Amino acid sequence: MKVGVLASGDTAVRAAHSLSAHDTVEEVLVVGPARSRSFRVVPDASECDLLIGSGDDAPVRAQKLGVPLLWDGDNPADGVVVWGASPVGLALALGAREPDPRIIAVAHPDLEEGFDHQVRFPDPVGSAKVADTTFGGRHVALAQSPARFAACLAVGSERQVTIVDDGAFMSGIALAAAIDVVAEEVAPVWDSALVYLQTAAVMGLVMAEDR
Amino acid sequence: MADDGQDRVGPYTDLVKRLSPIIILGAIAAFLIIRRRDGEVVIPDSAWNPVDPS
Repeated sequence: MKVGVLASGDTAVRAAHSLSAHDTVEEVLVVGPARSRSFRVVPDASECDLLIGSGDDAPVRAQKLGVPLLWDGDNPADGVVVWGASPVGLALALGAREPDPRIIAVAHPDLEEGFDHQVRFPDPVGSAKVADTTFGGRHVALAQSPARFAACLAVGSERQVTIVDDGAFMSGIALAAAIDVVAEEVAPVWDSALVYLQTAAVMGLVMAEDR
Repeated sequence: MADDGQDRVGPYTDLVKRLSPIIILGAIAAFLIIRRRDGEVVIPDSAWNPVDPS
Protein backbone atom coordinates (compact mmCIF):
# COMPACT_ATOMS: atom_id res chain seq x y z
CA MET A 1 0.00 0.00 0.00
CA LYS A 2 1.21 3.52 -0.85
CA VAL A 3 0.29 6.27 1.58
CA GLY A 4 0.30 9.95 0.66
CA VAL A 5 1.02 12.45 3.41
CA LEU A 6 -0.60 15.87 3.22
CA ALA A 7 2.31 17.96 4.45
CA SER A 8 0.63 20.20 6.98
CA GLY A 9 2.92 20.33 10.01
CA ASP A 10 4.82 18.40 12.63
CA THR A 11 2.18 15.73 13.36
CA ALA A 12 1.84 14.65 9.70
CA VAL A 13 5.62 14.54 9.24
CA ARG A 14 6.04 12.40 12.37
CA ALA A 15 3.23 10.11 11.17
CA ALA A 16 5.04 9.76 7.82
CA HIS A 17 8.18 8.48 9.55
CA SER A 18 6.18 5.99 11.66
CA LEU A 19 4.37 4.73 8.53
CA SER A 20 7.60 4.34 6.52
CA ALA A 21 8.72 1.70 9.06
CA HIS A 22 5.35 -0.10 9.14
CA ASP A 23 5.10 -3.53 7.52
CA THR A 24 1.85 -2.97 5.58
CA VAL A 25 3.12 0.24 3.94
CA GLU A 26 5.03 -0.14 0.69
CA GLU A 27 5.96 3.53 0.30
CA VAL A 28 5.22 6.90 1.87
CA LEU A 29 4.84 9.79 -0.54
CA VAL A 30 4.55 13.47 0.28
CA VAL A 31 1.80 15.16 -1.71
CA GLY A 32 3.27 18.52 -2.74
CA PRO A 33 4.01 21.27 -3.12
CA ALA A 34 6.68 20.40 -0.55
CA ARG A 35 10.35 19.49 -0.14
CA SER A 36 11.50 16.33 1.58
CA ARG A 37 14.87 14.67 2.09
CA SER A 38 13.25 11.47 3.40
CA PHE A 39 10.33 10.87 1.02
CA ARG A 40 9.47 11.18 -2.66
CA VAL A 41 7.36 14.28 -3.34
CA VAL A 42 4.53 13.91 -5.85
CA PRO A 43 2.34 16.64 -7.36
CA ASP A 44 -0.94 14.73 -6.93
CA ALA A 45 -2.30 11.62 -5.20
CA SER A 46 -2.74 9.42 -8.28
CA GLU A 47 -0.19 6.87 -6.96
CA CYS A 48 -1.68 6.80 -3.43
CA ASP A 49 -4.09 4.23 -1.98
CA LEU A 50 -4.74 6.36 1.14
CA LEU A 51 -3.96 9.83 2.40
CA ILE A 52 -3.04 10.86 5.91
CA GLY A 53 -3.34 14.39 7.25
CA SER A 54 -4.04 16.59 10.24
CA GLY A 55 -5.86 19.86 10.74
CA ASP A 56 -9.09 21.43 9.51
CA ASP A 57 -7.99 21.74 5.86
CA ALA A 58 -7.08 18.09 5.34
CA PRO A 59 -10.57 16.71 4.42
CA VAL A 60 -11.11 19.37 1.73
CA ARG A 61 -7.66 18.67 0.23
CA ALA A 62 -8.34 14.92 0.28
CA GLN A 63 -11.70 15.40 -1.42
CA LYS A 64 -10.06 17.42 -4.20
CA LEU A 65 -7.37 14.75 -4.61
CA GLY A 66 -10.00 11.98 -4.70
CA VAL A 67 -8.30 9.60 -2.24
CA PRO A 68 -9.70 8.51 1.19
CA LEU A 69 -8.17 10.27 4.22
CA LEU A 70 -7.06 9.09 7.69
CA TRP A 71 -7.66 12.13 9.89
CA ASP A 72 -7.20 13.39 13.46
CA GLY A 73 -10.44 15.42 13.48
CA ASP A 74 -13.48 14.74 15.67
CA ASN A 75 -16.14 14.05 13.00
CA PRO A 76 -16.70 11.96 9.85
CA ALA A 77 -16.14 14.78 7.34
CA ASP A 78 -16.55 14.19 3.61
CA GLY A 79 -13.45 12.57 2.14
CA VAL A 80 -12.50 10.89 5.43
CA VAL A 81 -12.40 7.10 5.92
CA VAL A 82 -10.97 6.96 9.49
CA TRP A 83 -11.31 9.84 11.96
CA GLY A 84 -10.39 10.60 15.59
CA ALA A 85 -6.76 9.53 15.03
CA SER A 86 -5.38 11.78 17.77
CA PRO A 87 -4.34 11.43 21.44
CA VAL A 88 -8.01 11.98 22.36
CA GLY A 89 -9.01 9.11 20.05
CA LEU A 90 -6.27 7.04 21.63
CA ALA A 91 -7.75 7.66 25.11
CA LEU A 92 -11.23 6.77 23.83
CA ALA A 93 -9.78 3.55 22.39
CA LEU A 94 -8.32 2.76 25.85
CA GLY A 95 -11.75 3.41 27.39
CA ALA A 96 -13.52 1.27 24.78
CA ARG A 97 -11.55 -1.76 26.02
CA GLU A 98 -12.63 -1.31 29.66
CA PRO A 99 -15.92 -2.89 30.82
CA ASP A 100 -16.94 0.08 33.00
CA PRO A 101 -14.96 3.23 32.13
CA ARG A 102 -15.54 5.95 34.75
CA ILE A 103 -13.05 8.57 33.56
CA ILE A 104 -11.47 8.95 30.14
CA ALA A 105 -8.99 11.81 30.13
CA VAL A 106 -6.15 13.30 28.11
CA ALA A 107 -3.43 15.77 29.08
CA HIS A 108 -1.47 17.18 26.15
CA PRO A 109 0.64 20.34 25.72
CA ASP A 110 -1.46 21.36 22.66
CA LEU A 111 -4.79 21.30 24.57
CA GLU A 112 -6.25 24.26 26.43
CA GLU A 113 -6.36 24.53 30.21
CA GLY A 114 -9.53 23.14 31.83
CA PHE A 115 -11.50 24.52 34.78
CA ASP A 116 -14.03 21.78 35.66
CA HIS A 117 -12.17 19.44 38.03
CA GLN A 118 -8.81 17.88 38.81
CA VAL A 119 -7.56 14.57 37.36
CA ARG A 120 -4.43 12.81 38.58
CA PHE A 121 -2.41 11.58 35.57
CA PRO A 122 0.66 9.36 35.95
CA ASP A 123 4.02 11.09 36.43
CA PRO A 124 5.61 13.09 34.92
CA VAL A 125 2.32 14.81 33.95
CA GLY A 126 0.79 14.65 37.44
CA SER A 127 -2.36 16.42 38.57
CA ALA A 128 -4.08 18.73 36.03
CA LYS A 129 -7.32 20.68 35.74
CA VAL A 130 -9.57 19.23 33.04
CA ALA A 131 -12.48 20.44 30.94
CA ASP A 132 -15.36 17.98 30.53
CA THR A 133 -16.29 17.84 26.87
CA THR A 134 -17.30 15.50 24.05
CA PHE A 135 -15.19 14.23 21.15
CA GLY A 136 -17.02 12.38 18.39
CA GLY A 137 -20.07 12.12 20.66
CA ARG A 138 -18.12 10.54 23.56
CA HIS A 139 -17.44 12.08 26.96
CA VAL A 140 -13.81 12.91 27.65
CA ALA A 141 -11.91 15.18 30.04
CA LEU A 142 -9.18 17.31 28.46
CA ALA A 143 -6.29 19.08 30.20
CA GLN A 144 -3.28 21.09 29.17
CA SER A 145 -0.11 19.27 30.11
CA PRO A 146 2.32 21.64 31.83
CA ALA A 147 5.37 20.17 30.12
CA ARG A 148 6.12 18.47 26.78
CA PHE A 149 4.70 15.15 28.00
CA ALA A 150 1.20 13.86 27.24
CA ALA A 151 -0.93 11.23 28.98
CA CYS A 152 -4.03 9.25 27.99
CA LEU A 153 -5.92 7.74 30.92
CA ALA A 154 -8.93 5.43 31.21
CA VAL A 155 -10.11 4.63 34.74
CA GLY A 156 -12.29 1.52 34.98
CA SER A 157 -13.81 -0.33 37.92
CA GLU A 158 -10.96 -2.84 38.18
CA ARG A 159 -7.94 -1.02 36.76
CA GLN A 160 -6.57 2.17 35.27
CA VAL A 161 -4.80 2.08 31.89
CA THR A 162 -2.53 4.77 30.57
CA ILE A 163 -0.16 5.79 27.80
CA VAL A 164 2.43 8.45 28.65
CA ASP A 165 4.96 9.83 26.19
CA ASP A 166 6.31 12.96 24.54
CA GLY A 167 3.26 14.89 23.29
CA ALA A 168 4.41 15.40 19.69
CA PHE A 169 5.58 11.77 19.41
CA MET A 170 2.20 10.56 20.69
CA SER A 171 0.28 12.77 18.22
CA GLY A 172 2.30 11.42 15.27
CA ILE A 173 1.72 7.77 16.22
CA ALA A 174 -1.96 8.38 17.06
CA LEU A 175 -2.40 9.57 13.45
CA ALA A 176 -0.21 6.91 11.82
CA ALA A 177 -1.79 3.96 13.71
CA ALA A 178 -5.09 4.61 11.92
CA ILE A 179 -3.54 2.82 8.91
CA ASP A 180 -4.55 -0.61 10.27
CA VAL A 181 -8.20 0.21 11.06
CA VAL A 182 -9.33 1.14 7.56
CA ALA A 183 -12.60 -0.66 6.77
CA GLU A 184 -15.37 -0.47 4.19
CA GLU A 185 -17.33 2.07 6.22
CA VAL A 186 -16.27 5.43 7.61
CA ALA A 187 -15.44 4.96 11.33
CA PRO A 188 -13.57 6.46 14.29
CA VAL A 189 -10.43 4.73 15.57
CA TRP A 190 -12.13 3.54 18.78
CA ASP A 191 -14.54 1.36 16.79
CA SER A 192 -11.51 -0.88 16.16
CA ALA A 193 -9.88 -0.13 19.50
CA LEU A 194 -7.84 -3.32 19.92
CA VAL A 195 -6.26 -3.21 16.43
CA TYR A 196 -5.62 0.53 16.79
CA LEU A 197 -3.92 0.13 20.19
CA GLN A 198 -1.87 -2.83 18.97
CA THR A 199 -0.63 -0.82 15.99
CA ALA A 200 0.19 2.15 18.24
CA ALA A 201 2.18 -0.21 20.48
CA VAL A 202 4.08 -1.64 17.49
CA MET A 203 4.93 1.95 16.46
CA GLY A 204 6.43 2.71 19.87
CA LEU A 205 3.81 3.74 22.43
CA VAL A 206 3.75 1.80 25.71
CA MET A 207 0.53 1.00 27.55
CA ALA A 208 0.59 0.49 31.33
CA GLU A 209 -1.99 -0.55 33.92
CA ASP A 210 -2.53 -0.03 37.65
CA ARG A 211 -4.84 -2.50 39.42
CA MET B 1 48.90 23.60 88.91
CA ALA B 2 46.30 25.11 91.18
CA ASP B 3 42.73 23.76 90.95
CA ASP B 4 40.07 26.46 91.12
CA GLY B 5 37.23 23.87 91.16
CA GLN B 6 35.91 24.67 87.66
CA ASP B 7 35.87 22.45 84.54
CA ARG B 8 38.45 23.62 82.04
CA VAL B 9 36.85 23.62 78.60
CA GLY B 10 37.75 25.49 75.41
CA PRO B 11 35.30 27.92 73.76
CA TYR B 12 34.41 25.48 70.89
CA THR B 13 33.69 22.55 73.22
CA ASP B 14 31.22 24.72 75.08
CA LEU B 15 29.50 25.70 71.78
CA VAL B 16 29.13 22.05 70.70
CA LYS B 17 27.62 21.17 74.07
CA ARG B 18 25.05 23.93 73.72
CA LEU B 19 24.14 23.07 70.11
CA SER B 20 24.14 19.26 70.34
CA PRO B 21 20.40 18.89 71.15
CA ILE B 22 19.55 21.08 68.11
CA ILE B 23 21.88 19.05 65.85
CA ILE B 24 20.33 15.76 67.00
CA LEU B 25 16.76 17.02 66.50
CA GLY B 26 17.67 18.39 63.05
CA ALA B 27 19.14 15.05 61.97
CA ILE B 28 16.00 13.19 63.09
CA ALA B 29 13.77 15.66 61.21
CA ALA B 30 15.87 15.36 58.02
CA PHE B 31 15.69 11.54 58.24
CA LEU B 32 11.90 11.62 58.56
CA ILE B 33 11.48 14.09 55.66
CA ILE B 34 13.71 12.02 53.34
CA ARG B 35 11.82 8.84 54.25
CA ARG B 36 8.49 10.53 53.48
CA ARG B 37 9.75 11.83 50.13
CA ASP B 38 11.00 8.37 49.18
CA GLY B 39 7.58 6.93 49.93
CA GLU B 40 5.80 9.50 47.80
CA VAL B 41 8.00 8.87 44.78
CA VAL B 42 8.43 5.13 44.88
CA ILE B 43 4.91 3.92 45.63
CA PRO B 44 2.93 5.58 42.77
CA ASP B 45 5.60 4.86 40.14
CA SER B 46 5.87 1.19 40.95
CA ALA B 47 2.08 0.73 40.64
CA TRP B 48 2.13 1.13 36.85
CA ASN B 49 3.06 -2.03 34.94
CA PRO B 50 3.48 -2.22 31.16
CA VAL B 51 0.83 -4.41 29.48
CA ASP B 52 0.02 -5.44 25.93
CA PRO B 53 -3.26 -4.12 24.53
CA SER B 54 -5.80 -6.92 24.95
